[in-house]
Formats: sequence, C-alpha cells, structure tokens
Amino acid sequence: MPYANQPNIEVTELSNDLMKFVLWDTDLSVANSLRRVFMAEVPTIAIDWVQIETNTSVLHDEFIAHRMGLIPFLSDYHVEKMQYTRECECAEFCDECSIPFILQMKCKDEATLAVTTADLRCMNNDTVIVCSKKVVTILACFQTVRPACGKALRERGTGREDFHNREEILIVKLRKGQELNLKAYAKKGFGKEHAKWNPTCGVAFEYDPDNALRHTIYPNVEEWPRSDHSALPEDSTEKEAPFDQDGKPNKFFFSIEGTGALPVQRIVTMGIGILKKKLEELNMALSLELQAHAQQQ
Amino acid sequence: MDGSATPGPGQGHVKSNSMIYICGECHGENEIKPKDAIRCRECGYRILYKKRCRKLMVYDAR
Repeated sequence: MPYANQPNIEVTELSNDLMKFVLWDTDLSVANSLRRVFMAEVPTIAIDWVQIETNTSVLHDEFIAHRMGLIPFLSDYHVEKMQYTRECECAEFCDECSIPFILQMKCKDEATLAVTTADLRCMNNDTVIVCSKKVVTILACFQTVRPACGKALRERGTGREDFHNREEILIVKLRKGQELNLKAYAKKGFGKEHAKWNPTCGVAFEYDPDNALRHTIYPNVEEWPRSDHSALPEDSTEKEAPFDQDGKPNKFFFSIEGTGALPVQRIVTMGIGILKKKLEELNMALSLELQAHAQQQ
Repeated sequence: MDGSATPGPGQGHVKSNSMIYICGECHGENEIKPKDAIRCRECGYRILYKKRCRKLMVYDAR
C-alpha cells in the first residue's frame, strides 16, 4: 500500500488572509480536488440582484450592477446559516436566503463624491442593543453582513497591522447633481456559478519542486527560478533533480490567499467538509443503487 | 425577475409604437415612429438619444 490512507498536513504560515501548508502521503488527485473545492465550492455571500431606481452617474446600469456583484462580503457568520435561493422555500426573497441592501447617494457639492462600500446600508439589521457600547459593536461586526473591506475588516478582531490600511471599495464617483439610488439583494453562492463568490484570490499549488518527475520541461533552464521548497543544495549549479522514472507526486505545497469574505482557515475547513459531504452522498447513492440491483436479480 | 434591460418599442408611451428620443444638439424631444428618418425636427441633427426607461430596472449582478 503506497499511502494506506494516512495523509499528513503541516501548516507553515497562518493568518486571516493567507495560509500555507504542506500535505503529503496522499495522491495528486486528492490534493488537486482540495484545491478545486477551495476555489469553486466554498460558499460566500455576494450581491446577485440589483434594482436601479435612478442612475445619472457616468457609468451605465449594467456596469454598476456588475461592480456591486464583485464586492466581497464578510460571510463568516451568516453563510452557513443561509439557504441557497434555489433550495429555499420562499417565492422570491426571504430572510433565509437573501440580505437586502440599499444605496442612496446624491452629490450636492462642487467636489466629486466618491460612493464607496461605506455608503451601502444593510436593511435587516438584527443587531441586538446591549447597554455597553463595546458589546454592541462586537455584535454588529459579527452579525451583520458587511462588505469585506475598510472598517469592517479592521473590526474583525485581529491584531494584524495590515488591517489598518484597508480602504473602502469605490463603486462610482458622482459630480454635482448626479444621483444613484438602488436596492440590491446579497445571496449565498459558490465560485462554480460565478467568480464573485470565489472566497480565494491566489491559490498556489506546487509539487515536485525540483522536477524529478519531468512533468514539465524547463523552456529556458538558466532563467528558471529556484523553488522555495527545493531540496537541491543551496550552492548547486543543477536546476533539476535527476529523473526519477518510477516516482509519484507525494508532497504538495499549498498557499491560499483569501479575498476577506472568509478567514482562510475557514475556507480550508469548509472545503474539506464539502469534499467529505460529496463523498458521503456518493456512498449513499451507491448503496441505494446496489440494493436496487440486488432486488432485480 | 426581469433581467432584460432593453425596453421594447413604444413601452410606457401613450399610443402606437412611437418613441421619444432626445436630440444631441438642441436637447429637444422628438417623437419618432419606426421607419421615420432619424433626424431632429427642430434642428435637423442626426444623433438622437434614447430616454431612460421610467420603470424600475432589475439586473443580475454578473
């Protein structure tokens, strides 16, 4: 048994928006399916329905609707409680499957007005009012779905420095007299349906850093950069390890970057859970099929 | 859910299949029927703009 189903994992770097880990003693296909699940099947929340009342800005309606869709939303608290619209029992929109937002801005000054995610108002603020002001903000940042940028990300409660530099996302700029009024619903979805629901930005997936398996051909050996995971000696002039004819990929180096919609740790745990659920469903379907088959004979 | 963004001809307008367009030169309103010359009645300018649809428009954010 080559691996005997005992894969190992080691996390080498972890923060809210970047996770690096090494996975070994498993097959290339398993590692690759994990990568694909993280990108395409971990659900997040994004705006999917936009009703534009007035738009006298320089961008046309479709353009603004598209920009609204691409805004990442803090989904950690809500996404697992929410229903997919196609699975929900309601006719169109309900609290189970959608979150309403409105955006009402008009530029009344000479200066250009930048409409950002900070101007987007959530319409079902079920925030609990608690006496202490601090508790209110904690509850608010946990329980309302907000754009994953600026203040919202800073309040997520991590001590990391770079969260202080996050800016609000610009939607459109208005000059004097221009107006934008719209209503939008955010919905749960996954990256396979539309990339706006993808919780990751960069996913690096590396195996065989010294190309011993010759799965690739270096087009220009001199310019080929040395891998961070290379096992070749530091001062070696060789760019590749000798060809290993019977080798199989065994060790996989992942580096996953999040958009802010979910902390990367959640992307990984949810992704593994989704893959497991798929296999369980397959197992169920198979056992039913086998039963039906046995009855026929 | 109405995803279509283009209003049909004569939509929202009183009678027949005429539409109101705005002249690019004098900004006057022009009522134009199908097969009419695309030309402003006031100043003869040939660039006309469609008016914004009055009903609420729904878009898929995709």
